[in-house]
Amino acid sequence: MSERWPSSLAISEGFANVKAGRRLSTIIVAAVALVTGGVGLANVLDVSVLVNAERAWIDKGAYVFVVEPNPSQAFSAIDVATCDRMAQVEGIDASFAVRVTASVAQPAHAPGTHATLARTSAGIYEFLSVSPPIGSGMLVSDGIAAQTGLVDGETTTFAIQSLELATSEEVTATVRLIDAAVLAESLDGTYLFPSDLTGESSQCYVRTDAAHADDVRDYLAVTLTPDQGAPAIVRPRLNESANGLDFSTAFNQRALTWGWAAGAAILILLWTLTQWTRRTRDAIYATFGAHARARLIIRMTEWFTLSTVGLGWGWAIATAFAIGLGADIQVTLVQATGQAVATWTVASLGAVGVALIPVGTLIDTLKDRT
Amino acid sequence: MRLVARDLSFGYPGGDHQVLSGLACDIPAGVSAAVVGPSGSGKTTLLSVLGGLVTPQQGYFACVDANGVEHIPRDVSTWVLQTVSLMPERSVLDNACLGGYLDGATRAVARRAAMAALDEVGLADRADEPARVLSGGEAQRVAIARALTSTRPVLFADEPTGQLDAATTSLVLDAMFASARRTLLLVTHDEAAAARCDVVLRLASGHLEPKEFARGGARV
Repeated sequence: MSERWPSSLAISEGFANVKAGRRLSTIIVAAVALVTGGVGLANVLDVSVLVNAERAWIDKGAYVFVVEPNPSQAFSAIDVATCDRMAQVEGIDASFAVRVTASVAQPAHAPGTHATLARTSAGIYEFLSVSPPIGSGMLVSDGIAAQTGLVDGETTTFAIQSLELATSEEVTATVRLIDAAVLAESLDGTYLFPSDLTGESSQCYVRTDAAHADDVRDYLAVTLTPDQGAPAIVRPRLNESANGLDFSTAFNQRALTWGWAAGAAILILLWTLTQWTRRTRDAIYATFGAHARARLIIRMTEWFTLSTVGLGWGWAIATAFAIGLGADIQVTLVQATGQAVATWTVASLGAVGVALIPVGTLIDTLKDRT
Repeated sequence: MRLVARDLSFGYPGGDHQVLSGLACDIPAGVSAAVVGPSGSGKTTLLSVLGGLVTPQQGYFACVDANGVEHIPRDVSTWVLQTVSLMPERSVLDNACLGGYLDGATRAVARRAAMAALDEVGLADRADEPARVLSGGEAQRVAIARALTSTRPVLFADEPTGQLDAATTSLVLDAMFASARRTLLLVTHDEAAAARCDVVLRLASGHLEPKEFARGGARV
């Protein structure tokens, strides 16, 4: 005779139990799918709300700094070239300089619709994620477009009139419609005319990200301050409280952060109850020579067979539902996978722990005294 | 295989009395012995101690083969347990195979032995059915077949007919006695079942007392 209850026999017994106990096996698979999928889906939707809110916040100007000359010093200004070079600094995505002029502009075909003209450096295209046209461009907000009938891509002639010099000129430029929400209110309703701006500007816009915001802020204050001048004023485009959320901590403060632990606890409880109701079987195996290791293998074979199927099913359900509900695919894959696997992993550790709990004396179990 | 116990004492942890106290017995090889006694007298506990399912606080017990070599009873014995001891969702054959696994048999060897044992108890044609569909008597015959699948020379039987009616009890006992061919220790409430054994021992106050000797010549 060979070794009593070798691992291969214990594994085959586990598979046989899974196959024979169809109803209970189905219940366990469904429960694992429901819990892992539910935890995954809930987290996907929860995180999606946060991600969308942060994206909207970023679109409105989060992590954008507006640098202005110090008002305590007369004739102070921001150097355009220095501002443009900021885009090459690590941690800064884009930058542009803007100078609000004493001129007004209007499309030649819409007299009487003139608005202030602001000249900007070319970096504004990248800053606003707008493709630069061939030739000159004129950036127009939705409000002006509605007023003048300008459409994106239209090439037209603009009449520019200097209020200081009482002169006028005409330029031909291609219209680019922009979302001006990211810009300061002072630029709302102005024509933004990207050009080879040189010299000094009234503002420098710099976009960074959450990881670099603090460092960039300090860097800008030093770099954009004129030599021997008063420190430049660096202010965030939006206050952190503007959205009501601190996104640097919001992720970890979600109510569902520990969802995987709650899900795992449910599965461990379910598995414990299952094992308790089937303790007689464990005692029978022990009576017929299955040592503790063999019995552990039998139980773990059952758990991993059923729970792996349930995990796959739950993940598929969570992913399909989340994508169907319009969640971001990357968020869906990361959250659904991470949460479902975390739930399953902890539940599996719990299942091992449950398998190690003694069932009492065999005779007590077999006579149902426990 | 002869079954010998001397000065055997056992009390459950936290219990206020000794279930077995200085118990002794000597059951010759091939003899069937019944242990009877009122509920709570310790019959099943005695079987558990002799079978190695629980460890006594004191005493000696062993199985001695024809050459005088002593064996730990747990290593040379097999079991017929109560009706509830089948795995209901598994097939009759799968349940019977457990006896073979006790001997260290491979799956194929265990299946052959189990089929032979099921044939002996008249259930070979139901080998593939799940155990849950069996009647009480059939289930206990499967339990006997499971024990017989093992080649071990000592058979412990714990109330094998405790939940059966008289007619079914007779069928089950017929199957067990006809095919046992080994030393049998039967714990039972059933006087009729006990009467079919070679010797009947009464368990009272933690001791075994001879109630009746038939053919075996057991000593206590």
